[in-house]
Order: sequence, then C-alpha cells, then structure tokens
Amino acid sequence: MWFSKKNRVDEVVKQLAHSPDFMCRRIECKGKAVSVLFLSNLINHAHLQQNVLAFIHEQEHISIEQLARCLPIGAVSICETEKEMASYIRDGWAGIYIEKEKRGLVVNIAEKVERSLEKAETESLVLGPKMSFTESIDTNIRILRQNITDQKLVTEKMTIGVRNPLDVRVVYIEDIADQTNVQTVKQRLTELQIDEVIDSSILAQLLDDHAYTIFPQYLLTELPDRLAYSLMKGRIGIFVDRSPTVIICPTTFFSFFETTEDVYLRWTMSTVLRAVRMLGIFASIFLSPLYVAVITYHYEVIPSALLLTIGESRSRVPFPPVIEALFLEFMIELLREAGARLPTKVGQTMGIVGGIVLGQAAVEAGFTSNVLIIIVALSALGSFTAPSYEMGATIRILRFPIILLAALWGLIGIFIGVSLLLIHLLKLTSLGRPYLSPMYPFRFADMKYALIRLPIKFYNERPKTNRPQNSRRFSWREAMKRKDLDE
Amino acid sequence: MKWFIVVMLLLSGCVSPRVLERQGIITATGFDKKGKMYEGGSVMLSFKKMGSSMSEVIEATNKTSKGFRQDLEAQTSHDLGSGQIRVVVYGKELAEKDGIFGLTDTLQRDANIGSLVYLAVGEPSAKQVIKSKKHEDTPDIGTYLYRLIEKNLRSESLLAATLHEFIHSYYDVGKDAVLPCLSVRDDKPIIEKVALFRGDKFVGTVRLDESFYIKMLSSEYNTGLKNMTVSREDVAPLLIKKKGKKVNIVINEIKTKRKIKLISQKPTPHFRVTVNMQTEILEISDKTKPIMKDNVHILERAIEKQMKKEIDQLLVKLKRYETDPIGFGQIYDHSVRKLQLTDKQWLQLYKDARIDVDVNVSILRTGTID
Repeated sequence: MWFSKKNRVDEVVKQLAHSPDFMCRRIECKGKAVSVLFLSNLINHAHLQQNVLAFIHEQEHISIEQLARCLPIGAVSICETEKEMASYIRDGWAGIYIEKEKRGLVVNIAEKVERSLEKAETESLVLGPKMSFTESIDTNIRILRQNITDQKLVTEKMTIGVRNPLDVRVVYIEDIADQTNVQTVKQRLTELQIDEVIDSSILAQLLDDHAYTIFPQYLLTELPDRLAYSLMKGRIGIFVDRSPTVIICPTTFFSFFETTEDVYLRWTMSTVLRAVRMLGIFASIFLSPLYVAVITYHYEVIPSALLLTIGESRSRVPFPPVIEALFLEFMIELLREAGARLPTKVGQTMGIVGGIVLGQAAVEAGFTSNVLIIIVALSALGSFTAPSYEMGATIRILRFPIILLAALWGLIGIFIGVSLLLIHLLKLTSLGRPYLSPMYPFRFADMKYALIRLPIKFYNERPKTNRPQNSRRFSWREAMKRKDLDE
Repeated sequence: MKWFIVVMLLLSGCVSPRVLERQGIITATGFDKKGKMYEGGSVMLSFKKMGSSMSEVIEATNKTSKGFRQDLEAQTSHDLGSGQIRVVVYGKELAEKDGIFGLTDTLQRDANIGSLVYLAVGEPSAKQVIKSKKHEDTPDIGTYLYRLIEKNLRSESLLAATLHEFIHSYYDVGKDAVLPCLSVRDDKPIIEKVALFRGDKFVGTVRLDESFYIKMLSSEYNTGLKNMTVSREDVAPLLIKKKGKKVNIVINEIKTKRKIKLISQKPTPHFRVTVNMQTEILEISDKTKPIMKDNVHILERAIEKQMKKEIDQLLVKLKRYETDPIGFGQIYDHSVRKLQLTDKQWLQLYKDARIDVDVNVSILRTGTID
C-alpha cells in the first residue's frame, strides 16, 4: 500500500501506538514539516542528534532522495509502505518522513544491548584462546571473521521463524565443506515451519535426524577457535542470533569427547588425556551396574583380597544392591542438580555438605557400603570429564537403565544393555552421516582425529569423515624435511 | 520385533539372585574316608558387621559330595556358595584307597567352580588340615592354604596343583598327576612333600628337593634356588682346607632347558635326557680359592655329577611307585608312529625303560662379591 494522501505519519503512529517509548519528532525545516520517528529505548540518542537531526537542520534543500544520498550514516533504506517502516522502527532504526512525499526513509541508529566478551564458561580451557561467543550474531560473525580470513569463507544469511523472525547464518568454507552437507543444512532450514526459535540448542533439536534418541547429534560450542578448527576441517557452522552457542554439524560420537585443548597440548599428553576421558566415560556407565551385577549374582568373580572388604561393608546394608545403588546414584544426581540451580556461593557449601557429610552419614547409618560410595563418586567424576555438557548428561542418564538390567539379569543384563546401545549407536546419523565414524564405517586414517593424537605433521589430510572436497592440508614430504640442519 | 524381544526377555524370568552377604562363602573343603562314606568339612566365611570377620568349619558325613553339601546346608542360616572355593584337600587315605577322580569330577562339572581351584593331599587327614586354627594373617584357613600353594607354585618349588592340570594329567596317557601334600606341623599346615599319583590314586610322596628335579625334567625351570651337597673330592682343587667329607653349595637364578629323546624302542624304550642349566653360585659352605674362568669347570662338573646321581635315584624311586610325572610316556607316544598307547601298556614299558641323564651346568656368576 502506498503512503496514502492522508497524513501518512499518523498511519505509522497508529501501528506503534501501543509502545509508550515511541516518539515522533516533528521539525520545521525550510518550510517543510519533517517527522523523525523512533523507539527511544532502542536507539543511540547521541547518534540521532548529531548525525540525523543536526544534519537535517543544515540542509538547504530537503528531499528524501537527497537525504538518502547525503546522510552520514552507514545503513539507510527507502521505504515504500508504512508497514515496512514500522517494522524497521521496531528494529531500532529511525524513520524520516517529509511532508507531501510519497516515500519514507529509514536510517540505522540502533543501539543493541549486548554483554561484553567474556571467558568461556561451559567449555573452559587451560591452554588456548579464552574468548567465547556472545548473544549478538553480528559480534559473533565479527569474531569468526577475525579467526578465519580465508577468502572462501561463506556466511549465508537465512531467516527462520514466522512470528518472531530470527537471523541465522550458515557458515562454511566453500571449497572444503561437502556440498551435499551444505545443501542438507540449507534445505532443512528453509523447510522449517515454526513460529519462533529461541536458542541454537532448540534449532539443533529441530534439525535432528533422530528425535527420540538420547544422544545429541549436533555439537554446540561457545568457542570461536573450536568453530574455526571445525570449519577448516570441512564441517558446517550455524550461527543463531541471540544465542551464544554455535551449532557444528555433521558430528560424530567421538567429537563430543574432544576438546580444542587436545590440539593445543603436545601429542603425548593429549593421547593420554583422551584415554583418561574415554576410560572415565566407560567407568561412569559401567561401574555401578557391574557392582550391582557382581554383588547380586556373581560373587565368584570377586578377588579373594577384596572379598572380605566388600562383604563386610555390604553386611551392614539392609537393602538389595540395586536399591542401594539407585539410592546413591539418585543422591548424587540430586546434589548435582541442587548445585547447578543454586547461586555459586551457596552451591559450594552444597557440594561439601552433600559430598562429605551425606556420604559419611549414609555409610555410618548403614544405608550404603563404603565400596559403593567410591564407585558412585568415581562414576560421577567420570561423567564430568565429557567436554560436552550434553554428552555428560546423556551418560549420567544411560547409567540408570543399565543398573536395572544388571539387577534383572546380572552380567548378561549388562551385555544386553551394551548390545542394544551399540545397535542404536550404529543406526544413528548426524545430518545423514554415520554417527559412529571412524569406528563404523571404519576409517583408519581418521583414528588420529578421534581416539588418539599424533604429532602435528601427521595431520596433513582433513578427516575423511567430513568428506572434504579438498582433503589436503599440507605436503607430508615438506613437513618431514628439516630445514634448519647445518651440515 | 523389538517388543517381541523385550517381552521374551521379561517372560524368561530372572536368575535367582545370590547376594554376596547372604552367602556362606566356602573357601576350602576337605574330604576324608570314613568306612564307605565321605567325611568332610568346609571352611565357611561369614561377614561380621563389627570387627573382623570370622570363619567357621562345618562338618558332615555322606555318601556323595553333593549329599554332603546338603548336610552342610542344614547347619547354617546362609546359602552355601561354592563359587569362591580356592582349595580342595583330600585325605591321604581317601586318595590312596578310593582315588579322587569321582570328587574332582563333580568340581569340574559345577559351573560355579573355576578350573583353577587348587587341589592338595592332606596328611594324615584332610580334616586336620582344614580344622587347623593357625592361618597367619589371613582371615581363614582356606585363604591361607590358597596363598601357601600359590606362593610355592610361583617360586617353582611345586609343579602343578590346579584342578585343570590334574584332570588334564588324569586323562592324558603317559603322564601322571602330582599334587602338593599338606602336612600338619604344630597344628599348622605346611608343604613338605609332593604327592605322586597313578591315575587318580595316591601312590607316594617325594621331598620338595626331589620334586625340583621332576619340575626340571618335565618343563623349563626359571627361578629358584637349590641346595647341593657335593663330595669333597670332586671340588678338592678349589678348597683351602682338606678336612671333612661334604661341601654344601647353594645355586641361585637357575635357568634350565631340557630335551628328552627316545633313542630306541626295542627291546625296551631308551630315553636320553639332556638338561642345560645356567646358574650362579650363592653360597659355598667352605673357604675356597678365588674361582676364576679356568677353574670354574671343577665346580660345574661336581654339580653335574651330583645332580645326575640325584636324578637317577629319583627315577628309580618313581619307577618303584609306577608313576610317571615327568611324562616319558607322552614322549614315547609322540615318537612312535601308529601307536595308540594305553596306560597299561606304558606301565609295562616304563618299568624296564632305560633313561640316561646328561646334565650340563654352566655357572655364569660366582656371586656378586669381589
């Protein structure tokens, strides 16, 4: 609809009338009435006064075209309709309308609220860059561009959400990332029919291949260096406005157990750390079920040196092992949840009270055995070694069904659980790519990206799991040469 | 399909739980002969809520070992669990008259019992061994016996003691089983001798120093220490004083390789045993001249001579007992084509078999002192 012959400004005012911070400044300039419209909470007032109002006053001759040409502001746009102008004003732009002109002008003087850049909290590191993404997509893209100056970096803009549109950017390196993967991401984003998306974690769930699984299928990271690393290895990143985490896809099971620190540390240390982490995860899932199975069904396998210790501490406990284990696991979960919900200072006290006092008291009162306390504490610690918060939570929950299976059928039950889990993992995909790669399908060359870490010179090829268009990073032969040797 | 499997698993029911502290865990069992019945006792471990745990010996008499188990069950509030049995002791009389295969067979068939259970012969009776109250720092006599046998196996003064090895030798033609023989001294079970078997019947014992040779001849020997008494004449050039008759030598870090060859079958089997031994001298009871490269051979020859003598004596003893723990029969069986050797045949051949022993000792070090 064209700006009507009636007072067009009133039409815009009507659309924004429910906002008390909406302002309409009318100024008289060279005999023409100029209206400047804005939402006062969203704009930078200094900017408005110096670059808009003052500029308009200085003009000899005034028209929309002339203003659009001369205003000292980066982003200006000419609006044909009142509705369009109102939506710009809602984004923090200022609308300028000159009496008796058909079109209006909008200028960007928005000032967005944004927290300053801080250290990463959920993925904290000892070595390497500490900066984390923030809630503003513009800032995040800026950080990314500082990290990757590659000419082939593509940041494609898309909008999702019908009622509350959200700015989403798909980023990848054009000549590395697999085109099929890029197409899949874009197609899934365009086909998304939803009123609004609040956070990237929700978007990740909307893009899931398998909605019912317990395993997360996309990596969420708040570390720019991790994203840059993944992009350069052929993965795709999805930025979501208002969210400090970026989605990385496609993802494999093993990438949830990697941290960027693995790359920063020397290879020996990282290999050991990865092994420790894997062992921790394994122990976290299987230690308590093993305890239940062994104490309930298979006392034969207890070494004779341990028999008395375990037997004595068990003889004080009035419950069957499965109740004992579930009780203690529940207590640990309770402590963790309480600690996470409470303010930091109170949280620390909670940890001490829960860990020491409750544990000790439970043993004293004969509710649990000493051995189980150690086992449960170990498995809780193990689950916290998972660098990804989501995967850590998954592992903590996985324990419970396996404990129940162990209580029903002993070691056989545990193996039924393991088999079902394995079958499930084999079936999973992330963005249509196998989840368990490089284990299945087996890719030997990619093992160095998943389970172990080798010296840097062995990383001359990008992981095949990501199907990079261009897999070569550097020449192996050049890397093996020693140039500083004087002979 | 998914639900079918789940339902099937649920309907198949659960194994009956055997919760650890509800079990009366048996760590050792002993069997003796009492007329036509078995008499025996089991060491049961019971966990105490306060203080250190106790073990208790419960006894019963029955015709079969499983019937014996049922009699035991009647005597305790716990479920008796045999999954942690470590040692089974058979009384000497039982082993000598009835043989122990019937009893080992049921151990073998019980899936709860591992095949690495140690078997032993108790002298004079298994009951005395099991009821002993002296078990050092271990919580019960079963664990004590287990550690005792395990230690001696590791230090290679015993040959074999596990159920698996016993059953293996039992079924194997041309090789007889040996087991440790537990005797009681001051009410404390110790290992003094090794029991020899023919089939599943106890035939006699040899001392531990004799069993050293059995071990040496039947397999490779890798650690341990051996005391040799050689006659003075043999080592005379090395000695400073000339008085006395015998000299004691202790050799250590013994490494042997043995080779047994069947040289001829007729008229009687003729074997040649070659043992190559590397060792070092740990102790000599007399003062000697410095032992150098050019006179160490005197010592070596003396040890060889003494060893050969002792081995020959042992072989005579084994033949007298009609038992073949070294496994000459196996070698005979392997070396002769188209032969289905039976135990009976071998026993006839073994009596007259000629066995030449050749020992080569090389002393690598004469002790670390200079």
